[in-house]
Amino acid sequence: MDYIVNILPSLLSGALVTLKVFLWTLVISIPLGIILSLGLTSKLTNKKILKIFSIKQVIEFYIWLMRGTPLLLQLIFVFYGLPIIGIVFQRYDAALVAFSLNYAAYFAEIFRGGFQSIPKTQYESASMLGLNSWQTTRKVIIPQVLKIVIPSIGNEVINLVKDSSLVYVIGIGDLLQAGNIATARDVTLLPLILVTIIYLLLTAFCTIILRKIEKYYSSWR
Amino acid sequence: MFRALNISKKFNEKQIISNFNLEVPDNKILCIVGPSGAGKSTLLRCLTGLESTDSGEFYLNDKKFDPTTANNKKSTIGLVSQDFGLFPNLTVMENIILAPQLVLKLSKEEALGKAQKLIKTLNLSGKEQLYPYQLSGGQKQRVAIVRTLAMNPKIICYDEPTSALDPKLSEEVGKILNKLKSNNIMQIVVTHDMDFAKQVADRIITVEPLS
Repeated sequence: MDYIVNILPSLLSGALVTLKVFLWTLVISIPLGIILSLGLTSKLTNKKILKIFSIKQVIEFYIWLMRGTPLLLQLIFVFYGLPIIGIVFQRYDAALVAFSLNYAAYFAEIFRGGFQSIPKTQYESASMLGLNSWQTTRKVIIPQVLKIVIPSIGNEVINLVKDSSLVYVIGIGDLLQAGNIATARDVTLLPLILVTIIYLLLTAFCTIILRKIEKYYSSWR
Repeated sequence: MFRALNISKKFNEKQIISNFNLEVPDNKILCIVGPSGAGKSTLLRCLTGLESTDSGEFYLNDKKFDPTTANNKKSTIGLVSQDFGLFPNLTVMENIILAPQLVLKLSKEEALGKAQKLIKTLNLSGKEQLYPYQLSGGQKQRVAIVRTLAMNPKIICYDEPTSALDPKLSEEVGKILNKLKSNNIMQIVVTHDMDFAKQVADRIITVEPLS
């Protein structure tokens, strides 16, 4: 018990780093994902820039790049690779940049599916009532899209809790690294078991929040 | 008086409407009937501005206007579509007051007051807090009509208003349309239901597919 009390502060401080990466990634990547998905579904982004490529093609390339390469590679690229060409990030900022760009690509695809499943008549009804496209998107379309995408977003959120452990590769002391150090130092499994329990608690907490959001949206169909 | 003159519309080189004319006097109901594929729905989409026309002119009280921009910041033309187009994420009352608040800039109290009057007129009292999925087909349709009326349109178009209703409810909808005739509103109904057309129409136009 004494041992647990001794190592718990370092594990909890690691968990705090994990939580910070997790929360900031969500705060940045979800709105970015919505914007990108609007770009994917809008007719406006079909126009070619300098007669070479359209904004939609740029977004599609970005999503292909982010989903087609490992997140670990992206982390290493941002922190160790970009300084070679003069773009330097602090460790924590590099993690946020890599995670946000990666997750925004996944969220964009999820939201694209959501936007595409809204019947055209919803847009037409709103337009016949005189609503402009921003009012339509905000009051009519986004709430319906959110209801559709919540289960898929939930999957990604749970993945993000676990993926956040990848930050160890750029030297950030997160929950997993704290446990790993303690296990190696004290030659005991206990730190890793505690790490497991903390991850499970974090994902259980996320699941409860997601269920509550789903329940909120279940009042209408 | 609403007039559409020489309306033509092509889709993929196929002529759907050719030099079509129509006229609807104030407080009158015009029914457009015809078989499937005759271009009734396309015509309605052109009249409501959801589709642009290849040629033709529109006049409202002898003033030329463009249906594709007529509903910017107001609602000159209202549409009650075949699937009613209610917003599933909003309650009946929210569906009705959304546009009056955002577009006509009414205060919430003003919008609620207006909505309550219309709800009473169309026998929807007690349904204000329900969501569209909790309503029957006939109730959804009446909500769609109230929502359109709340925007004070000059013209209301209906796309197959009885397609989802049984004969008794169709008759009820007919009564509602007749009731609205006294409000200086011009109504255009696209339908394949000849009985309904005979029940409500002041004038019936038949459209046939172009060969």
